[in-house]
Amino acid sequence: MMLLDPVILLSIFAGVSAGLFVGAMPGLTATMALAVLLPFTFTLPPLHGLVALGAVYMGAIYGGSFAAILVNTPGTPSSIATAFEGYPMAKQGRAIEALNIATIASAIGGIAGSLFLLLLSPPLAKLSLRFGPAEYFWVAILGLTLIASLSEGSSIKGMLGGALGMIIGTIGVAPIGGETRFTFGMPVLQGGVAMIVALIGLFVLPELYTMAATGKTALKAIEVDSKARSSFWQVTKTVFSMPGNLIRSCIIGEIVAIIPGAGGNVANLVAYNEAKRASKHPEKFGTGLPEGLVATESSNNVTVAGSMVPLLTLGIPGAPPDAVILGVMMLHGLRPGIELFTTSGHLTYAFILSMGLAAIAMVPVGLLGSRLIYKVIFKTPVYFLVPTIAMATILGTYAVRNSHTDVIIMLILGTLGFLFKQLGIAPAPIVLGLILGSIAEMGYVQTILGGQASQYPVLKLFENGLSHILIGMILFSALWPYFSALKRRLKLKGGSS
Amino acid sequence: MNREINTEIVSGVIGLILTAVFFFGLEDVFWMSLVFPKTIVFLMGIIACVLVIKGAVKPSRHRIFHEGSNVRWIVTAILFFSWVLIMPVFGFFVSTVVFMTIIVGYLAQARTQLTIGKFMTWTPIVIGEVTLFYLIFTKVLYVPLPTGMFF
Repeated sequence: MMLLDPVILLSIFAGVSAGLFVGAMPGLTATMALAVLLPFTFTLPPLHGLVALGAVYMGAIYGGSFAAILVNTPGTPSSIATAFEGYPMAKQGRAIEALNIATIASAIGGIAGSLFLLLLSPPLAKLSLRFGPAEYFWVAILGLTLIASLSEGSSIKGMLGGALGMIIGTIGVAPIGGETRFTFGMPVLQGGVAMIVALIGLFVLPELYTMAATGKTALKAIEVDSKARSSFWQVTKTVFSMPGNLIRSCIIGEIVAIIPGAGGNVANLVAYNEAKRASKHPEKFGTGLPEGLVATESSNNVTVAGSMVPLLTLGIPGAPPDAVILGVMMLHGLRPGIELFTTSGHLTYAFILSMGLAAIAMVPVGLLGSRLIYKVIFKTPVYFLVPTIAMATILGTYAVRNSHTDVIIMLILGTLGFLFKQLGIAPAPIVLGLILGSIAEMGYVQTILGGQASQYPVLKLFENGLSHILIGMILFSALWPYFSALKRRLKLKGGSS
Repeated sequence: MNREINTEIVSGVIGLILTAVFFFGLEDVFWMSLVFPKTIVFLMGIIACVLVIKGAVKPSRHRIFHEGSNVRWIVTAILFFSWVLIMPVFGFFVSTVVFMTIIVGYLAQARTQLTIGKFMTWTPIVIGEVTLFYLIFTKVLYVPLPTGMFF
């Protein structure tokens, strides 16, 4: 009943709208949106503050899909894979359909995440506790097996991109040891390359250079046929016509979300890869398939509530925005743990349910917002669009660490990314390497350090049961393309004979 | 630049150059800080070699830089870099208004005849746009944008 308070409902709608705006701007992250809103929540009652922050978080992760679909630029790292299908759809004149699919899938993901949090917090928290450094290392390696899927064309070029991403990720101060690496005597590089800076440069600039070269945007006007397909009911039907994909993506999102540090950045890529692998026509992925879009958008919004599992039960923020929410909880005297679900149960459960409501609120807000943003982008002449996106990109990059050097790094990486793209090295594997490289390094070095007492410290990586499961998954993931190719060949042989 | 090249060999060579750059960039640090980047540098070298070999054994040629005008993207890139490099001198607002107007004019000339009248229309739009973003970032999001000699 507390949630029916008009102020709370208003907070949800305002929070989702603000989050959507921030998420749609490349470079502005959910963490930043929450940090900006934080001072305003100090004077609010605990529930109102938490509800507003939860709604902003939900809206920001969803808002990332707008830029990914309309300008091939993931607004947040959680929507990297959204661009793989959403942008080709927009190029085919199906932008509204793609935006509506993202809206419905995100809402379903958000609701599923809240349900997971509501019903499965204790067992999921126990599972998250079993993840040690060795498991983190294997999770990162598992993520790297996605490179084959994310490479456009040659997977060897994808691997080169992945390795380059991992090296870029090691520039600066080492996470363990604290020494600087690859700074080439330049102190400005000691801070390293922020993932979001590389993400913006590698995805946005090649698109801007292409627009400048061709003198036109890749977006096409909405086709008459597409108008029918993009209607709310038709899109809802499309999304619900793939229940297996939805359920699988939500489960992937939840599992990834409970691993602190992974979050939506990894979940959307894993879900996309699994959707492709399970599809009857994987070769069509990358050409504008709703299946891929549903997988990424449902999985990344599951992580919003999903990452609250370790936060609310163990006090471990699953993702950076959760740390802000933890701060607000502590400020109001709410300590994570069993008490949160007993003594302060009324607040906690209302907060969890409010995230479900925020997911529902995304539908009207998103449907209106998507049309507006589409019209603005479509009707703006390319000679205005290029400098405007460039300005938003520069501002977003600068705002990450208030660093002018970051903007220069973004321009250099973006220009290199454009040249690499010409050679067939896609930006996605580079960003994937950058995201997962640091997780792999932390896990690897911590495990080896922990095993110093034994003769072969490296064996520590293979000790745990969970590690064995992850290694099995890695082998399965890495060998699957060969199995399926073999299967196809045998099928063809059978057919011809 | 609008020509066909063996992208495998070119990618492999670039990979080898990057491997050399990062290999010699490895400073003398403790093993904990070194073990991971060193492994990846070696891995990158191997992948680059594989690409070069693949390109030599099974050559396949692809067209690069074939979309639109190469001059236009190069000039745009130069303008982007100049804009960002000048920002600490003139400040975000002034440099952005100046460079956005230049870029709008430069890209528009491919489609339309440039006239003073058109610039008179575009410039207020650019100023309005920059002001909006400037106010959002400085007054709402509290991001201290580069000020330079102006604001």
